[in-house]
Amino acid sequence: MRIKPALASWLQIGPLATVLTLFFGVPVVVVIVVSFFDFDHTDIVPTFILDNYQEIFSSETTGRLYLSSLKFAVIVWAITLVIGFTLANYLVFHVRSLLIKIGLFLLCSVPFWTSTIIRMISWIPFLGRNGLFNTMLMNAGLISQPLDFLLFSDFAVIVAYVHLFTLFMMVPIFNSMARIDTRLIEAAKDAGASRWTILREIVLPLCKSGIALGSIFVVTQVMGDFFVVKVMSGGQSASVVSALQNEIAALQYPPAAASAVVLVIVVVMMVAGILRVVDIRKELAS
Amino acid sequence: MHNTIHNGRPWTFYALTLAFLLFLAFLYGPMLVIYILSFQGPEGGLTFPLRGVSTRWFHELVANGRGGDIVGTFTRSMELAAAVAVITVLMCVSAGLGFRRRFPGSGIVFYLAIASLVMPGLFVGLGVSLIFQLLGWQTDWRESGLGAQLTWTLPFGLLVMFAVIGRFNRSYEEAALDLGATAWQRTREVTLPILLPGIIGVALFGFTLSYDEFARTVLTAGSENTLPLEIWAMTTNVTSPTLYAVGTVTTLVSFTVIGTALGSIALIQRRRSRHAAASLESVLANPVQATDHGRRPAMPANAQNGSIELVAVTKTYTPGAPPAVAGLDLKVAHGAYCCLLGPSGCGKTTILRMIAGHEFPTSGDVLIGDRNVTGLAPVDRGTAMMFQSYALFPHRSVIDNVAFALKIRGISKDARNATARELLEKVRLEAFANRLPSELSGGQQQRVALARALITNPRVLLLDEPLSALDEYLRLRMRGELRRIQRELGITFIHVTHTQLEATAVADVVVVMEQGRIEQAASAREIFLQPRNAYVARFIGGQNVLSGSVERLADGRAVVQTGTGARVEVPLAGMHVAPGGTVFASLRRDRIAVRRLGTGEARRELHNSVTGEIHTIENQGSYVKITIDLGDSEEFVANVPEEHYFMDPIDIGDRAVATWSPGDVRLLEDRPSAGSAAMAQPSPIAA
Repeated sequence: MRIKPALASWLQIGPLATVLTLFFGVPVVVVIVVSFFDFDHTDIVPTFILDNYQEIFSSETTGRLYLSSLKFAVIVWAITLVIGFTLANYLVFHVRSLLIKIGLFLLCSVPFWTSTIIRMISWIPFLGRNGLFNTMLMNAGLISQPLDFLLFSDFAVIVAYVHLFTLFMMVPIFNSMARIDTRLIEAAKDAGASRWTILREIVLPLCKSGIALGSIFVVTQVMGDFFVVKVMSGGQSASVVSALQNEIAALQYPPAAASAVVLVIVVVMMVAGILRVVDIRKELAS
Repeated sequence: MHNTIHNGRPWTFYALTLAFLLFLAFLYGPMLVIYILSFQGPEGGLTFPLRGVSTRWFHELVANGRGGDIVGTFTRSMELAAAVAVITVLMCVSAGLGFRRRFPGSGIVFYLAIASLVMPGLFVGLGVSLIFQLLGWQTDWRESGLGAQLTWTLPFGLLVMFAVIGRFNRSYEEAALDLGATAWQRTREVTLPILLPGIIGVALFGFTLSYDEFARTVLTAGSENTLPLEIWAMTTNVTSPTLYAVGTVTTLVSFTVIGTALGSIALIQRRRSRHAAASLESVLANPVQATDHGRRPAMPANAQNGSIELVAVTKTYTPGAPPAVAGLDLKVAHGAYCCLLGPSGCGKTTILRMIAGHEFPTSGDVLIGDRNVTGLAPVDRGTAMMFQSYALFPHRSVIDNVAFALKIRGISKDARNATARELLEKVRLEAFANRLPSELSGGQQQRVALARALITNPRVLLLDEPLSALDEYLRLRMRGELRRIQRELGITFIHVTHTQLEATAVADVVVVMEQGRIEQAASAREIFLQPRNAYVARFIGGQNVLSGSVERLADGRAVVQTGTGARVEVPLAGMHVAPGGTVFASLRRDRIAVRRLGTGEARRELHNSVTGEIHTIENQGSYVKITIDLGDSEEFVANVPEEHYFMDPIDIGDRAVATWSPGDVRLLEDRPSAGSAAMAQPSPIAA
């Protein structure tokens, strides 16, 4: 007896599809529905109102929050892109021994496996007013007063983001770079291209899909973050999601749902924008 | 002598190395600081250097002194992470395998997974907690945490599986089916073991992502925290050494898990190669004992008739597109060596795979030994297939590869190894029985593949471009070897190739194919001496194709005037042609004499000769291949014995006359109508 191939495939992906539908698909729909509900201080009231959305678009905090989140997203994206591309380029094209290559790659990825919150926290004793960095600079006589902008500032937020998310950028770029046939580089060298030209004309276009994939990871992570901003800015900055979290903490579910829907629309538009520039399906399929 | 080896590293290398080291310092520096600070002296505080060393902060964790319940949350997190890892592995492996086929709805599930991956975690958590709230369910942290975290680990695991499966060669599975494995046996014996390192990777992702998951869990965990939530609660006091002690402990746990996972991957790889090394020693220590050649193989012989018949077989891959094989009929007698010859995309491999049972015809029937096998599984057909890349199972030794089909049939280890050894002797590889396929050369791998295919006593052996991966020298040796083995076994061989010389060297029957049709099926000699049409003549080589219109008919011959004005006599051999019609004829290249056109010698209107400029000259050893440009698009080649050529070497650019006898010209069956000019176009000749 032969099972029809389409049926066999459905049986194989069925469990995964079910879980994703139940715990992702349905919740998305529920959030969208609830965003039109009303609420009082104890309960959610099923009805259809647009007040939640009106409030979001009439409040000037919304614009400020999005601006702040977008600012972080763009800065972190640019920094992780430069670092990720440089490191991947180094590992793929400059390290010759395969063993050393794997070893260095593992060294980069090991911190990724440890707790995100701990990794973020670890910057506090380092960057603090009496932290290691200020102590070192003072002992070296470079500064007489501790630097205050290091911790509980936008600077600290960006440092923590870069620390947490560079790997998300580096790994996809590394993957697509590793797939480039080194003979292409040799051919370009034979044609007289400089290292810089090779990078710009050969390497960069061929790892576009990796860059796009990494960009999607980094941008969505930053846009969805709330704890880094909260801790590292010392409460001075806020992000879209940290405001959302406050609403949830106050049990204001319908306005929280509306903010979440608006956020997701923005994020999806950003992802769609990246996908418009680069087709990553090829990268995912292979 | 003093030699310095110049490494030739550009300055960019050193600059990038420095940048890389700086990045590592950036990555590890702050983390090292907190690990050190977690051993701060009993008074606490952030001071450098430490005020003494103590383990007080670790004691506080266990002693539950700070109002938190680190031990409880840690246990919960480990429990949850283990459950998430197991479920992620099961679902992702299954789904990864399922996604290899395109099927209705696959795109939706794929994009659902991707969307889940890029969605802000808190959004997903909000949705899940809203559902429970609306339904009024009191859920445990187990079920709600599990559900929310799976939306994060499943897409990740799926992407890892895609990467792993992308490198997995499908022919391993087809080979297993060929050798008689059921779908389940195939998955257990072949697919999963080969994918195992990747599967461990998925488990590692599942575990660590869950163990660290925060944003999706925070709204769904209820009153009982998981470890990241507990840590989050502790961040109200960011300078507490207890917090750093948690950091040290969780990092240790993470490293233990990663170490175990990576270590087991490395162990799998090493055990495979050490197993090979050890058994190599044993081979060297105890040379293989001669086995009893007279013993019957353990397999019941399949029905002896290995004749093959294809009846009106059509295969269409995409509806609406031209079929890969179009209404094809073919008969191959039992015990024949048949080559399917044609350029890539002509449908020859499709035919092979339909005979094997790896593809099913859209319409028509496949008969083997007068039995209709059209819908049967590969194993029920009495065929065996040798794959183009050999598809030797990389995780099994040579002898385990060869004995695989017998293992599937439940034959005892001693019996199946004895039979496998007999076959390895036949292909002269008995000394390599315990090596892994990757430790053999290409030619040796090919012989292992042959032995593995033959162990089921097939009545038909199917070979998909068997020699294409070998270098020229081995290719020539192995093709003789294949012919020898086929003779010895007396079974039917179907051999797919795109090389004319390979086909004509080994085959009893050569089937020349083009665009899903058979152009000619006959012995190699017949195809060479009497090609049916211009396509066959061009593809087989050794023939020039001449075309022109029939001027007159006389003595069973047609006098044909070609496009360049030459007049050629073509024996009709009983065929009918109409005066004025266009005909094609082939002319043997080795029966043409070429001489220099004397200076001042006018171009004479002789029959059976052409005049042109020498275009290329290639010395082929025993003969010289001369291409003459006649002024039309058709290639005209004369293969002149070297001693004739070197008596008066003629050079490129010289004008020459080529002459031949009408007995070496054959009339071809092409009769183009006015509209089908395509027939006159020269086809690309496969190398």
